[in-house]
Amino acid sequence: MKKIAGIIINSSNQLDLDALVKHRSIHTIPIGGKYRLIDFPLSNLVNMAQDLYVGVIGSYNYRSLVDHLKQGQDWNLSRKSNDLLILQGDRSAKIGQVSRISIQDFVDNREFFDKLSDDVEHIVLSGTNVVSNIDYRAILDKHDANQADMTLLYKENYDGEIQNKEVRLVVDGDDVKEIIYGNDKRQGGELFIDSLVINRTLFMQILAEAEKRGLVDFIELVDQCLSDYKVKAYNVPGYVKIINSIQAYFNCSMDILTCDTNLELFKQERKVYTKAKDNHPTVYGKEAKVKKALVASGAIVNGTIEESIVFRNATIHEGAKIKNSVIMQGAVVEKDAVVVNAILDKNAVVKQGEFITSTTKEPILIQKRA
Amino acid sequence: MKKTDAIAMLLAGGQGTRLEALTRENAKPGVMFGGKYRIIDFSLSNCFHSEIYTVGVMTQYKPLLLNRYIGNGNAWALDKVNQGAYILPPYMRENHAEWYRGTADAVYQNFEFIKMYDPEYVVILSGDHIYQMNYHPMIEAAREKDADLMICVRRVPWEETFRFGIMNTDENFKITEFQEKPKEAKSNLASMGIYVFKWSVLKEALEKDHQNPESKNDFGHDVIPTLLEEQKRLYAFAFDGYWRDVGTVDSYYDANMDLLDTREDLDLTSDYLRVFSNNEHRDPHFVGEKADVYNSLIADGCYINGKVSRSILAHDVVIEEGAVVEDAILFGNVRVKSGSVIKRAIVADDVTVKPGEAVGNAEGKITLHVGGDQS
Repeated sequence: MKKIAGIIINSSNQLDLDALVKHRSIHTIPIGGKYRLIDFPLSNLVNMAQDLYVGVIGSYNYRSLVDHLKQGQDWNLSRKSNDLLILQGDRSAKIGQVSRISIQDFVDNREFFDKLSDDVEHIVLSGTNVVSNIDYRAILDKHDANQADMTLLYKENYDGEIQNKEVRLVVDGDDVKEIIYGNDKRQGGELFIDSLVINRTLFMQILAEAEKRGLVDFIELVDQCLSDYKVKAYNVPGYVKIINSIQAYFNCSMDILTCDTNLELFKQERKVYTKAKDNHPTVYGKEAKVKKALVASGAIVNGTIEESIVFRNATIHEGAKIKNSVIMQGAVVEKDAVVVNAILDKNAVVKQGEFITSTTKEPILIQKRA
Repeated sequence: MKKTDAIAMLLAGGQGTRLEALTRENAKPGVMFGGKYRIIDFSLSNCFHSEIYTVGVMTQYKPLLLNRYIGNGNAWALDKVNQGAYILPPYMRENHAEWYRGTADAVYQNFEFIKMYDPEYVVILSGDHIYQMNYHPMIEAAREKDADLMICVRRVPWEETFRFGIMNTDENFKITEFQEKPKEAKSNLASMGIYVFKWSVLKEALEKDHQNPESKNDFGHDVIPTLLEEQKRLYAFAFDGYWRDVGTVDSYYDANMDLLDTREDLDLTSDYLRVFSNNEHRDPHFVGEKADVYNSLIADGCYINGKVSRSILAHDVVIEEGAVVEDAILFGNVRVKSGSVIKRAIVADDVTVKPGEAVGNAEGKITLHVGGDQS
């Protein structure tokens, strides 16, 4: 069987994620009780094929990324055969270029792509902030059946947060008719989810071409050669959300609390992997009252929790009340404190008796503590 | 190879018949404990915290689950260069092959393994005890007293001394007499089955024991009494922390329930002597709208929509709406259907408790429920 190279690209334009990316790379934003954003695309890649090279393009702030991935054992990637490489990235953002899929990131890692042997037929590019359990096997099959050069992934009738910076595709059946991006003011089109399948030889050609022409955005080049190649589109079924703002993060977290989304993301045969930790099972104290919550191991719960996500090693003290909130790892809600419609970042502390409340339309973020 | 200070030899071959159905497919050290651990996690984690990174694990009874679980010991951070956890099953020699006949024989049969490391001390451990302990001070004490054998002991209530191997000592904790399950004990210091041997002494003692056709090849029954007769330097090392031998259904149940009380001597939430385990990938558990959960330990992957109190739930347990679980231990993948009631019971892996079914009694013996036609 042919090998596949999977590349997790860096997502530019993280301004709306605000303090969530102040001390960490976008890849490692905690989500769903015990995961990080990158766990979704990385697990999707791992679930696609046994024979896999993975390159993760890091961002400027990559300490948390290296800490999370290590050598990839937790995602079934072998350390002896160099299955996982963390690649350099984000230089373009530093020099003021804004792009959807940065060509600079590929050029900077030329060696990685040059080294891919001839038995690598496909390259899969995947956005890092896409929360979805994607069956790439089916997409590859479709790609081959279509004899496509490139297959772009999109979500039909996307109902999440859009910032007008996203790329949209005008599709007709399996075909991509037009690409709307950048300053293009046209309405319509379906949301491109920053992920695609491309034949390796074509990718290398495009890379060389883009470098020659001095292009910044991979999408711009795809648009320019839309008629030259067989570019197909694939609508990703099921739950797909792009985490591009605090509000989007909050909404996605609340989605995960609904049974359907939870089952769809986590109870599939295709598992979502993450870094293993030695946590004790969740401890429920005598005063605990919990309804509709996702609670990770290592948490200690002795207060009241409703419609919330509680991460590993979070502590909810007696008399504390939490509703519609995300309590990240190591956060502490002290006695009799109240937290409503809030995101408590890692290790944040809400003091005894303190009130942190907001509305679902404007969730409040309490920043990470070192 | 550099001379090693101490290595551990972990006895994990016991069948654990008194745990009944819980050890039908699994050796006792491999039985689930506290929702996400296996009993052997405690000893292996202790080794790591004691900086003993070479651990020979002697398995014999239904070892497959345990062997797979332990791997090279990386889950307990033991996988250093040339060190780690090593599974040691009985093996065939040029002209004969035999099972491990007793605890001492198991170690004797693995002399070649110990020689590879040529340690100064060999720590003999049991894979079926629940306790958190750093062995380092015990090894240091052995060195200080120039002990041939240091035996870890704990004080037990006088009325229970008849159940233990009792050590009588002088004022310097030098062991003067050993009483196996005495009717009238002279002290209440009970052996915990944790031994620090000088390797040279262990070697000689086990070779001698092997030659003795009368011997049952057991440390407590044979080796220690012989060493005492020979006037070797045996010392007791007192341990006053939490320690339980979970060899019976009742003691297993009680030790699990101890986890639900806030107690300083057994605290899985503390970073101090933290218990590691070989983690599998599971999503956080989900608590539904009709749920009521308190005073319990819940592992990853569970779905709870019923009432759960004073209970321990292992991974991927499903509690449907209207089901009640009290004072119970549910193993992995147990399904508790709507309207059923579980009280003071242990429910084995993969069992489905049918709608409206009642398992266990509010009083009397703890119920061990293995499901359907097997019970």
